Amino acid sequence: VTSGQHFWRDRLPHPLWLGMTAGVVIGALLTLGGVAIVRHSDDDPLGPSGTMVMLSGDDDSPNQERHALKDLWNALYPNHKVELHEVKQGTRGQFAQMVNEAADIYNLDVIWTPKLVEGGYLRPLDMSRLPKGFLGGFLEKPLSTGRYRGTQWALPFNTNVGLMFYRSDLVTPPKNVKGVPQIDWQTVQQAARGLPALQQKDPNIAAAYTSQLQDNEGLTVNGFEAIWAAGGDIVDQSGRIRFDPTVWQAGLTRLAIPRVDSQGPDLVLRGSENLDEVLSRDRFGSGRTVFMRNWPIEYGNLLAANPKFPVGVALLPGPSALGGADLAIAKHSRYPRAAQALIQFLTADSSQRLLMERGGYAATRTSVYDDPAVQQKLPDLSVIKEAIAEARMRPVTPFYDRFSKVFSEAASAAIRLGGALDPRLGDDLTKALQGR
Amino acid sequence: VAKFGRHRSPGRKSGDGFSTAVASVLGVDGKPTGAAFLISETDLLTCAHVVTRALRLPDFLCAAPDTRVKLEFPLANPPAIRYATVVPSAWQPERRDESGDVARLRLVDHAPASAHPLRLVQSDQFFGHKFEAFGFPASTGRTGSWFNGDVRGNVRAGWMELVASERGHPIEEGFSGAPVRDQRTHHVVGMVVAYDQEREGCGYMIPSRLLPAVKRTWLEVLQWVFTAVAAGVGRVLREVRKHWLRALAALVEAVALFAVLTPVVRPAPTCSQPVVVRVAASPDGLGAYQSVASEYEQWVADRHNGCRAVSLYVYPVAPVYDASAVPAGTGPSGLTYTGVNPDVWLSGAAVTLDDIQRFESEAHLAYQQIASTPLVLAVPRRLVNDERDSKDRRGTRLWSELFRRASLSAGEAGGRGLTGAGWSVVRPDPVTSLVGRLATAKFYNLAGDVAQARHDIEQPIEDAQDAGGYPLGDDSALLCRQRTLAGVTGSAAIITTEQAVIRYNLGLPIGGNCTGQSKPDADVRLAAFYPADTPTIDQVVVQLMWPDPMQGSAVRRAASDFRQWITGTEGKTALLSDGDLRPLGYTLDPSDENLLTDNGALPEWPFNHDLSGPVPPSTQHAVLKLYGAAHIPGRVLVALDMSGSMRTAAGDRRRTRFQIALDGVKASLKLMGGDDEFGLGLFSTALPDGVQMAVTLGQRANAQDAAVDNVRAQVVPNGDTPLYRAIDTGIKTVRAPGGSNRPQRRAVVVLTDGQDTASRTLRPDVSGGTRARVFVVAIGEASCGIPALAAVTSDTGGQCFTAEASTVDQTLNALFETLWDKGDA
Repeated sequence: VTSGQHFWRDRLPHPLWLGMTAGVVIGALLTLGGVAIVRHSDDDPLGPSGTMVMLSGDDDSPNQERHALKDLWNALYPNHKVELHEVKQGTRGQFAQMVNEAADIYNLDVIWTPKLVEGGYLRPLDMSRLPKGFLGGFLEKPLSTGRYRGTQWALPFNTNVGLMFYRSDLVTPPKNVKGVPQIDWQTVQQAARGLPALQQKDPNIAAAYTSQLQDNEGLTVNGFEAIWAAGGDIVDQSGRIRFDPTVWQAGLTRLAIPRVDSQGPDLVLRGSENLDEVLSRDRFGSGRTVFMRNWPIEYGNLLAANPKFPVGVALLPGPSALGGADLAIAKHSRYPRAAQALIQFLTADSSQRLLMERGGYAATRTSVYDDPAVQQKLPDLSVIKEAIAEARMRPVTPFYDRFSKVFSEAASAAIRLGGALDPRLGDDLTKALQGR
Repeated sequence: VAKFGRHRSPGRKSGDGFSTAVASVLGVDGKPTGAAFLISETDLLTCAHVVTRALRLPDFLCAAPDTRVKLEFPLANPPAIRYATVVPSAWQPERRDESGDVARLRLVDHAPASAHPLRLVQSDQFFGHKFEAFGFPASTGRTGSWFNGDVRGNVRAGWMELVASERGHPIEEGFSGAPVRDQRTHHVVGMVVAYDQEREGCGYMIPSRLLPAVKRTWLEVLQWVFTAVAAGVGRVLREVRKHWLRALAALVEAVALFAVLTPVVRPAPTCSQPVVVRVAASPDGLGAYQSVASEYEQWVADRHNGCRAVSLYVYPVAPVYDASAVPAGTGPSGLTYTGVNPDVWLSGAAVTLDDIQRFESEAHLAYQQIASTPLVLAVPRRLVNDERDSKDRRGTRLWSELFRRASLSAGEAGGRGLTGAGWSVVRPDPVTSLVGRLATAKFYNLAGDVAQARHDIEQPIEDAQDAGGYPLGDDSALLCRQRTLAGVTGSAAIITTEQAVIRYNLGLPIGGNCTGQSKPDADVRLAAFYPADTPTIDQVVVQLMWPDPMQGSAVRRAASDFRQWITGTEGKTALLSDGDLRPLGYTLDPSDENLLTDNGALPEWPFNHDLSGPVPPSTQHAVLKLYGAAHIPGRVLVALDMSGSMRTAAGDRRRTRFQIALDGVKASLKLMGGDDEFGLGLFSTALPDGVQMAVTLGQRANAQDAAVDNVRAQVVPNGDTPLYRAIDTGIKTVRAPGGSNRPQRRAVVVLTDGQDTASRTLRPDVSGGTRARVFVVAIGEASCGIPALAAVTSDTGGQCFTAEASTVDQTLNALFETLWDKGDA
């Protein structure tokens, strides 16, 4: 039995959205039209017809804007369609599938570029086919993640940096010398000491801080950032391990899970050792902590779940690990030209603007950050740009997976034991860099 | 291996530089629990278990104790008492693989003047050397005693074996933490950690390379280097003066050798890239399988000059319920929904060998049974009367008898020698859980009638589930609930596997969202009862062969090698020690037996009985049919989020979240039984009261399908999310009397993609009244982590599921398989 009431109604798309879509279409046409005009060598400048496969991680943006761009490409180039094959696994799972499945384009986490190059999975980009000045439009650090042994193998689809999310109704972050909000560990510790007062304002609050401390790549990143914030380093410029137990322990101690018998107030939320990006966002979004370290995309997800949620973002206490995804062409692709054109389309200014504005993905083109319209719409833009400028690369090595696994296992044990590290960790990491 | 000993051994030496550095660690009763020795002016090294025993704390304490420890230096001059604290950053409790067990103590005040730090030296020169240690066995108490003997080869976790010499003294209780000194070099090469229960005189030490490094001051380092260099140079000069001709010849030889070898000697080569093998594992055994995989990787590396030639990516795959394949099953194509094509599948408790044989028609695969675990009734220790129950644990009762015994009140006579135990019993859902289905096959009388099954079996189980708020899920979900009850009234005996009992008692992750915790207290731990006719759950390794290019030949070879390894000796050892499984054809040794006994299992199973054969598919069909008729019908209200965000496109972007959810709801209507009731409500601030019924609660009728279609076609989601108001209204609605005269399982299924934004202070009222379970399916940005949601689902015996928006129809289907009566029997 249905209710007979007419409470539903059709809604036309908002004029703003129509305008933006038209803008993307025109931008894409102009970009690719340029390619078509310049290249006359074949009948079809994008090479043989056929459907390409792009292997990618999950599109976790609120509006699935990557899918929207894919649909747009397919509408524009029906002879060179692309299928998106999404791997609903973490970074390590995505890699396991990528090296075992034939694809034309990889949308890969930035850490995998050296490994895929050494494994013979990638084809270098044809620089002669890129419009003049195209590379110069990228932010330098994200662009460098696709470079290995002097060759540009990939272009950055989106970049990523850790940000400190904070409850804007409970704290006001201090600003650093550049006038950008930055939350240091003293502020977090201060919040932990003042939890009883904060709980008067929000009884859900259980601890000062949470993050991605589950034993996987998220913990590796958090561990690196904690060590960097403590003044330590992971590897030196020649790729040698800089294991300093005192400094490393000082950093990891800040992430230590409270002991079962400790009586609070807690700095780190209990159970954080089981949290990944989504679960830590859940805890923060449900009001359990005052601060959370997470990626920019979670800002949009938090507001999508609750548009009134009081949240702000600031810089981490130290440098962030540079994350993000690069687009690369598979060595054995039958459609390398079309694949490169698609990569160019996805990394063009208009696509990057759409991905950032509507999808929450941090753009890789400088023009997006300089666009006054985007600046007005995304007030945290200056924080993200500054965080990218300060970010550091994770070790660039073809054995990164082994290295990360050894590190995160040690870090996982350490945060459960108050920060204590196995004294043999330095040797183990050195061996891991050799694939041992 | 044990941490305590038996023999008496008189002391014989007095304080030399070695023994004066050794202190006894005194327990609260003033007796030594072990030794500690100075490694710097302020720090001592000992075993973690020596400290925990001195403070009467559990051995496996994760965090460093913060209580002071009392020490005595009996051979210092004069003997001295000191206090020390544990250095938290260096605390390494013993791990399950017997690594760790090291603690560093820091003196509160200065060390005795005559006690000087000992120098730890990494050595591999053990052959032909004699060793000694000074410890505090119980028999000699605080005086101390000496061990003499040899160091043998490596054993597990890098430990080395100590064997007492003929006239030497064996390692005994109180030697733990004692330094082991090479009598020839006078270097300390390790620390005593345990003794061997089975072989008198044998013990174990942790070699220096596994002990925390001691930092020297730059002055000490300089002094050491200077002394060594001076001694070396002096000796060389003396030799050259005496034999200058021979020295010259040696020099020429050395230069020639250097020239020849230089091109040959290279730094260790970097390894080539490993082959990556994708291993799908049942979520309930994920942690165990990851440990087993690590052992395999190491085993391969040992055979490739240390290079990690194979990397196993082990990830969880929850069974996708396939309604068309009864009994429930997961075929190879059902394993790929995560976007990964597994090369190996470790099936856990998801399927039977029969199911896997059926999969052969779907894909090319090779499989082998690797281990098994018997079904048991897991009873909380506090409910077990050893005198009364020990016989029943050992396979003297059938499942039907044990279930009946449990259901009778304590002391009540039940005929045929049965005396009631007064336990309540909960069981995993037979439709979706293999464990639940196999157990039910054993205690149903398939020749009996529906009324009997309903009265004797289903009603008591339903009452127990309701009383304890147990969810309607698999045994992992029941055990997870048991952990939260922790001995509170209402905790019941659970039908599960031996493996799950051991992991529960060890405090390990059980599966799903149930992560690990510390070991439960003794009275809330579980004791396994083994019925004589109990079936086993087969643990199978399945190798899947995908066509190129989805699987290269190197990957296929590596997957095949792993399959062979896991069925070999090394794999079997790993399966037992890391997986708590009984590998096929594996003989338990005493330490394996201890693992089982200490954690609620009985190593003697199957008690000389013939093993019960597999439950054939036809019997499972019959069980499901009878269960469908006998179990309690459902009265289910689906509350569907109609807020604006449900308009978001999902999956292939052809349908919105709202439409996919409605498609799932409609598909599930086909599963309704005759006595089931269904209703559909929508919630959004766009509705007049925030909540509105779209399909009123009632028994199966074609009009329901049309009404759902109508909603799908006409409703455009809009507005905010009054989630808690919807749950509250839903509970009140399903609690109202229904159309059936049978008892009903009442449930509210809420599907949402966001947080509550419009209920203000209202929270769902779950108190009093008939139990109404609340299930939440969270998609998109919705979260099961919100405390109010977590509370309302767990308090009502419901569950919260996080689902992909694109596959929410499958999640709903699986949930309704549990909720609906299959009343067509």
